[in-house]
Amino acid sequence: MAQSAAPLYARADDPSTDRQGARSTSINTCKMSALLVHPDKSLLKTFLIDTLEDKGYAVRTAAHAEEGLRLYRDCGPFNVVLINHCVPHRNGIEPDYLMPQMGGGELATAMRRINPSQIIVLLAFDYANANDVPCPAELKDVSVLTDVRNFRLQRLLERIRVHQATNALTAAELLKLQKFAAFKIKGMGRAACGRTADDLLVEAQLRTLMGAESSVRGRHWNKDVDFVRHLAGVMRSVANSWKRKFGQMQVHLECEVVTVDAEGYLSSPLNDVPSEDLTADETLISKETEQEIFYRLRDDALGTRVLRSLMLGMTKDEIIRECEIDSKKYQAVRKRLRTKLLSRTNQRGGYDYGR
Amino acid sequence: MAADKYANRQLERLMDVLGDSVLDLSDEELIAEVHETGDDPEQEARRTRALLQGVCDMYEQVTRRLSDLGHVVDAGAWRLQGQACHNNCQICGSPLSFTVSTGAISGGPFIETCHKLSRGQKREATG
Repeated sequence: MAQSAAPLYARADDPSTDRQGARSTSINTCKMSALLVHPDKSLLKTFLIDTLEDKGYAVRTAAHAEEGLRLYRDCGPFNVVLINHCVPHRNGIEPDYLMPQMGGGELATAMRRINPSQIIVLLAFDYANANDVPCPAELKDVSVLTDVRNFRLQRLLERIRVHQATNALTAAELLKLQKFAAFKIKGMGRAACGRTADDLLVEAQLRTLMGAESSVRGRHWNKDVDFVRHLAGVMRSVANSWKRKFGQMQVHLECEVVTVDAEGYLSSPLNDVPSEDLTADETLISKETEQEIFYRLRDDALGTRVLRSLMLGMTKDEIIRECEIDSKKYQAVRKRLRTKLLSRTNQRGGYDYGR
Repeated sequence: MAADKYANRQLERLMDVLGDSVLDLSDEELIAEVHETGDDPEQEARRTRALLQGVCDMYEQVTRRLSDLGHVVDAGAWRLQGQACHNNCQICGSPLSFTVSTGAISGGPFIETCHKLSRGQKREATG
């Protein structure tokens, strides 16, 4: 059945489109919303709605492109829009499967004109590979789902959630993560093996994305946990894993490395290791780090006292009692410690920790 | 050696306390502190945002590219070695890897379709 040749979507230079385009693109992360444009009332549509609702989305549905666009104009932007590639243009028009099906593609393009940052997923279940799905050039970054087996839709929605949470981070939250990573790296000392705070942040984010798909390697983000706290937790765990690996590099079981030569003599490579102690230069680095920290606080007697107490593992209450200060003063000293330890200036040996 | 390990533990403890305390700061306090350390908060925030978004973009690019060519990877099988992530296609078995920091991707699955790689491997196996 032939489809209407009349232009279905507003052009980019349409004034009404401009007005819509000026609408805020901010995403309400508290209540997530989704728009599903799917033609039939099949089990598949029910499955899609159930999946979206399971993931915490309030779902609006449309059966054809015209209705989808109207809903989008009235209620958009949505956190995610799922469009069936073969959706008919208008109500009452059955798609002609002998014709190239572009209803979904055109609808997606029209939505992108209204809001260029709208996250759209094209559902193309009639295709084997996403590569085979005809897509206009402006939709090259749109995710295409060719089947929903193996929790593909669920995994995609989880990844989208991580993307949106990342985009929604405020400047202060980003700085918190950066400073947290810098302190973590600084505390690792030699175990960081030259890695920087950026490396720690990158791995934490990567593991979160992997965790969106599988909890085996990655770190699944529990939606009840604030994203900043989640990333900080992942950084803690990654730093511990790096430390463990560093420890494994240092410790060997002799039975694992011992070999027997052709004449039956046992030989262990550990015999060639000069000493179990840290090397002289490594010890020097540790001591220098400590000296450097105290040097930065050379003019701050109270700061030095609190620093020593913290290094001894004393709690806040113990330090307050020990140093005879109140909570406000303790916070102020902690602030001085943070700024002095991460300061670019006031450095003696040119250290630039965790950067 | 024990003394050095103890010193390292002390340093770690100190940095843990200071790192955790950052998370409890208000936005204004944090931005003021960043100013005091001599950094530009806006520039630093922009840089960190770009870093995190870069990871998302890279992971999405890898996932989409593999999916476009019909490959299927087990997300639980990614192996992180240094800065590179390694995996294998579950269907054709071809190895693939990507590195976030350099943006480098390598392996047949990023170039050829899964079907083609599987056929090539079968042909190799039958000689």
